Parts: sequence; structure tokens; C-alpha cells
Amino acid sequence: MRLLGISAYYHDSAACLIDDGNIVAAAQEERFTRIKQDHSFPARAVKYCLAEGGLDRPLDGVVFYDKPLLKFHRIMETYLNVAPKGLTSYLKATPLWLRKKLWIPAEIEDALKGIGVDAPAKFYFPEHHESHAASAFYPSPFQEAAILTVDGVGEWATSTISVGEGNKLNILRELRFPHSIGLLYSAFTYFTGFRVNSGEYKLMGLAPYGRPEYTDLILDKVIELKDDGSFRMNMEYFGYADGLTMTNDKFADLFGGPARTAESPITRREMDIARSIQDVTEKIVMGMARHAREITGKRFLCLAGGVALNCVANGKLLREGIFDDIWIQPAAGDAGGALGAALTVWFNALDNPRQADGVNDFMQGAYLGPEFPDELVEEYLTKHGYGFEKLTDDNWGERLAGLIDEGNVLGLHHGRMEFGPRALGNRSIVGDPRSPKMQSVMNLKIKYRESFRPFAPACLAERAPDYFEIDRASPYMLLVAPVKEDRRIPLQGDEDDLPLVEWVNRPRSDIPAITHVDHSARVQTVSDKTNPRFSALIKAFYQRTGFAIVINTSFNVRGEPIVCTPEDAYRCFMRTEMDYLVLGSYLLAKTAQPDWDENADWRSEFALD
Amino acid sequence: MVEAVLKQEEELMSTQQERFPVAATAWDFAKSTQDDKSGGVANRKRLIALFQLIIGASIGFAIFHYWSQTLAYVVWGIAGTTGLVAFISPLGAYRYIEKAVGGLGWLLGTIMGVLLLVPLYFLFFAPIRLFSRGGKKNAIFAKPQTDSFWVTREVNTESRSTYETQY
Repeated sequence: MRLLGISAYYHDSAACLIDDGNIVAAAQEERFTRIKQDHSFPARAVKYCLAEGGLDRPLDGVVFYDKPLLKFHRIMETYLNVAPKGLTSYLKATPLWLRKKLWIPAEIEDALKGIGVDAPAKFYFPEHHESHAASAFYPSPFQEAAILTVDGVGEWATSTISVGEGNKLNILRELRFPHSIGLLYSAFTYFTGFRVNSGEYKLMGLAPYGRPEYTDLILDKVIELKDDGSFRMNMEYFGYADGLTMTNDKFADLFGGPARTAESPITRREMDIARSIQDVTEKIVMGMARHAREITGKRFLCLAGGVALNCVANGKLLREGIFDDIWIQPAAGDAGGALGAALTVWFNALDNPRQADGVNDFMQGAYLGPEFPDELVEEYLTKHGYGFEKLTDDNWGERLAGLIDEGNVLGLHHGRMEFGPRALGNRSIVGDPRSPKMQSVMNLKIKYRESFRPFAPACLAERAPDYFEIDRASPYMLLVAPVKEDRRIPLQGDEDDLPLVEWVNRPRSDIPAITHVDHSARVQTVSDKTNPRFSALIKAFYQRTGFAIVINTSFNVRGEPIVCTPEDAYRCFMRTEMDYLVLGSYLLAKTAQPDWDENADWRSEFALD
Repeated sequence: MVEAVLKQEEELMSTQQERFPVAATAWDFAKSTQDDKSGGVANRKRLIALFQLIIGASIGFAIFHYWSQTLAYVVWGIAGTTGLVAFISPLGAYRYIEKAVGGLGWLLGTIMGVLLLVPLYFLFFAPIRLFSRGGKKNAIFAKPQTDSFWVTREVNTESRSTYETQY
């Protein structure tokens, strides 16, 4: 039985195909349309997923990742509670609902017809948080687990605690709009001058530079937090229920002035606010997790929802030891809702059996997107006259490791594209973590993003404990762990007074490019089983240098979706100061390429996030 | 010469789709260049403009016979100019006309939306808030005195049919 899961019309549209409960393909629409967090119907992602599954069999059902009418009810109820305020928000939202969102089945049928696919007879609509919870539990290695979803908002729920047992999933508790951990974090993201729904990572990355000066203020005035992690927000400070901004003037007064404007210098205030809201978020998540353990009695925890991408909080949660182990859906945001929606219908609604082995998850390393065979890549390179060298399976890792050791930065494009916001080695930019200048170089000359942002290490799974205080795999780069004490260079004590760039450039360990200012790192462990090629590259680097780590950052520039096709990769390679590009078995040196001529300013192609 | 190149690219495209059906779905590098070179996009634009010209001319005739000759000349003038631009520069100047028409449509839609939705907001939403609920704080914004803000959900005994509803 083939089920197509779809998330669409809000942000980060995606499609997923499952066949008899097995994940065949999943991809975000942004990768194909090249529009970051594209919210339109994921026509191209659907087309790809159906092609991956074979077009010879019809679809048995389409599963949309939430209940549109319940969501509409929540929105209208909110207006009923704030009118006559809220007019601008109402005028912006209502036409879209009347035109599209209230007619989801018809929209999907039309869109499927548009790509030549017959719509199935059955449409399913699980709840938004049920989709998130299912995306966390069903692909996890656990047969039984507590499930925590922490998100912006779905229909009414903003966070839920569920229990998963075998093929059944039940929501036990929920927090309701407008009290939302996701919206709380986004409000501070907005206030510190970053873009809501994409700048949350930046706020998290900025937090270690700050002091928790505002933590008490937030807990006293902005939210009321209970021991069980439940909380209510003081809506006098927020604008999202009755306006178009996340925070209001009263909020600005409380935090000493207006919100930072985008691209203006980051001051001590923003750093301290980032640190404070990160602390508050961690308190909330820990409280929720303890409560989940208490009411479910389960030993394992599964996490999903946008806030589950907060890998600092995830790392703390793991170290707190509330649960024996945790598993986080790599596509924890709304894109993953497409996967969860399809899985919840297969298991929960249709009552099909599920057996987990307690060790391996069902995500296939999150490599669920398209791949491009070598023959096709070679045709493309030859057609355009791009210079290349063909590598063999035997020398692939060694050759690339040598280039990294020489200080080169490589764009890596091979195998199936990752599903979710993280590049896990198949659509990645890689470099040498030992170089103290690499963080600044890669941020400013290759990614064109803020210099304070840290990079993540991709480390051989078996060698991870040599570098980090972590005792288990982190294949999806969703856990932050401290760098081992003996590798650290102690802080000098004057860091708080340094300009941000100087602080960033000061070495903090013998792997400085991936060590954040608080000696932490967002670890990805790489194994032979899920990514043999990437693993071979790191092994070769280890044999050559004694370091089983490379820098791994997503293959894109600021504001651009991660590259999908070899053509996207080549374009990004030529626009930036990357030294080499790897397309499957082909190695391209920048010096061997014809002149790259673009008339338009390509930086204006992508809105800055 | 051009035809030979196009034929070669067409063959490349079809074999590409046959050999790599999945990859070709995600990335059809021959298609975009072939489409532009063969004038596929331009010809489609011209066809659309031809239909628009026919419709414009018909409306003009109707206006000429039943209403105003002057207005009919204006309609024919607009339809003729648009058609001519589409045939001469389907991917250049005609795109600007398309954009302008699209922008005008968006503007009219927005104005109509505001005209219809604003009265509804003030005649329906605001009175309910102010009178039915007495203008007081409501369930969404209330601050209940409680030990926990978690809301308990009934254990899910939903049947398959519940998943088939949008509410």
C-alpha cells in the first residue's frame, strides 16, 4: 500500500512516499524550486517521490499533515478574542484561507493532476502534533517510548506529550495556543534581529557569547513556568495574536529598547538575551521531559517539532539522564510532518504491525532524496566543458582527505540528498577542523554568513569519544556535546570584552574550527553503515592526520536552500571561494574551470535569512 | 545546423529520461536549454496572446454594435497592441505587460478583499468580542490559578474515519 504524505501552505513544504510502512523517499520542495522554506504545494517533491517509488502502481492515499478546519477555527477564535485589534493580521490571513487553505483536498487533486498523477480516493488528515509525534516515534529504534513534540503551533496544540507502544500512539497532554515554546523562542529571534522560522539557529549559536542577565526577568514577567514544564506566556508582551510582529512596544521597554534591526551590529544586549532565552528554553524542555517520564513511565524519549532542532537543549536533555536514551527526528520541523502524517495513517489508523529492534532506526541515515548517477554527471560536465578528474572507489577518500589536509575547502555532492535541515555528508561543504582561521574563512568567503556562527564536526562514530564527551551515536547532528577537557585551550577571562570577530578567531581547542566559544560542538557521528563514502573520507583523513574529524556545513550560501542537483552544486561552487567540488566520482578543481560569468548580482537571488 | 543540434539534444533528453527516470525527474539539464532554444516557451506565450487577441476583438465587436464605438476602438487598440508585442517579443516586452496585468489583478483583489472583509470584522468579530464576552479577558488570554497548564487529552480511540475528516 502506497501513501503519500504532504506538508504544505505554511512553511517548509515537503512530500514523502511510504510503501507498506517503509520510507521510500522524502524531500523538501525548497530543494527543487530553490526558494528557501518554500510553502507552496510540493509538486516537484511529490513528482520526485512518486518516481522514486515507481510510477507503475497507483497511490492508495494522500495524507495531509494537519486538520485545516481545526486550524481555521483556532485562527477565527483568536480574532474573536482580540477584535477590534488584529485587523491587519486578519486581512492578511483570511483571503489565503478562503482561496486555498479551506479547500485542501481540491488543491491537492488539482496539483496532482497538474503533474499527471491520478488522485487517490482516500484523503487523510491527522492532527499537526500527531504528525510530529509520529515522525519521532515510528522511525525510532524504540518499541515503546514517551514522545515530546515542541513546536510553534498546529491546530490548538503547541506542545504535546504522547506515549507510543508498538504501532499505537496516543497524545496524553497538550499545551495550547497562544502559549508556545516555539513562538516564545521565535519572538526572541525576531527581537534580536534574526528572521523568524530560520534565524532560530543563529540565536542558539549566539547564546554562548552571552550571560544569562535576563533569565530571571523572563521568568518573572514574560512567562509563568511550572515544575512540570507547562507554562503560560504573558500576552501583554507579544504581538503575534493580534498583530503582524512577534513582540510589541511593552516587550521592547522590558528589554531596554527597540528590537535590533536585521544586519545591524550585534551588541552585548543581543548576546545576553540569546543566552537567557536559551536557558529558559532548556528549563522548559527539562521540565516537560521529566513530566513525560513521570506520566508515561517509559525509559526512552522521542522528540520532534521545530524546537527539537535546538541541539543544545537536546544535548543537555541527554546528559540530565531523565531518559535512558533519546531519539530526535532529523526532519523535526514541518517538513517531517509529511513523513509522520503518512506513518500515523499506516500504523495508527490502519493498524499495521510495527517492530523496532531497540538499536537501529528506520530513517536510512535521512538519505531519502534524489541521487544522480555518475554517467549523468559526466554527460553534464562534458556537455559544458567543465574540467574534471575521475576518481575510483579506491582513491576517492584518500584523494579528498589529502586536499582537505592541504587546507582546501571542498563541496561534496554524492549519493541521496538528505531529508531535513541538516547536510549530513552528501550535500556538504567540508574542511580542516584543525585550522584556527577556518571558521572565519568559511563563514565569510564561502557561506557569506555571520562570522560568529559555529561549524559542526563530522566524526567517525567509533572515534567520537576521543574528542567529545558523548557516549552514543549522533548521526543527525542533533546533539551538542562538550569537547573533551584535555583538548581544550582554557579561556583567558577577557573574552567578554573582546569584539565578536576577535573572540571567534581565538583558538579554543586543537580542533578550533568546530569548537564553539563555550567549548561545545554540534556533533555528527558517521558510520560505514549509513554513509560508507563519507566515512571513507574521514577515515582517510584520520590515517593521514591523526584526526578523525572534518568540518561539515551545508552546501549552500546564506539564504539559499541546500543544493539538490549537480547543476546547483556547480553554480554554488563557482560563486564562492570553494577550492574543489566533488560530484559523485568526479573531482573538479576551481582552477580547471572555465570563467564563470554572471550578469546579475547573484546574492540578490536569495533573501537573507 | 540548428535543427541538428536540437534533434541531438532532444535525443539526449529522451534517453536521459529512459536511462535515469528518477534522476531526470529531479534534474533534467537538457530540458531547460532545449525549451529555450526551440522557442517552446515563446511559442506558448504567442498562442496565449492569440487567444487573448481573439477574445479582445470579440468584446470590441460587441461593444461597437451595442454600446460605444469609441470604447470599442480603445478595446481593439489594447488587444491589438498586446497581441503585436506578444508576437514580436514574447519573452521580453510581453512579460512586462503580463506582470503589469498580474499586478493590477492583485491590486483589485486586495481592494475587493479589504472592502468585503473589513465590514465583516467590525460588524461580526468586534461586536461578539465586545458584547457577548463583555470585553473581558477570555479563555485564550486568561491566567488561571493552577498547578499545571497541561491539558489532559482523552485516550485516542479514534477510528479510521476520524482521520478522514478535516476537523
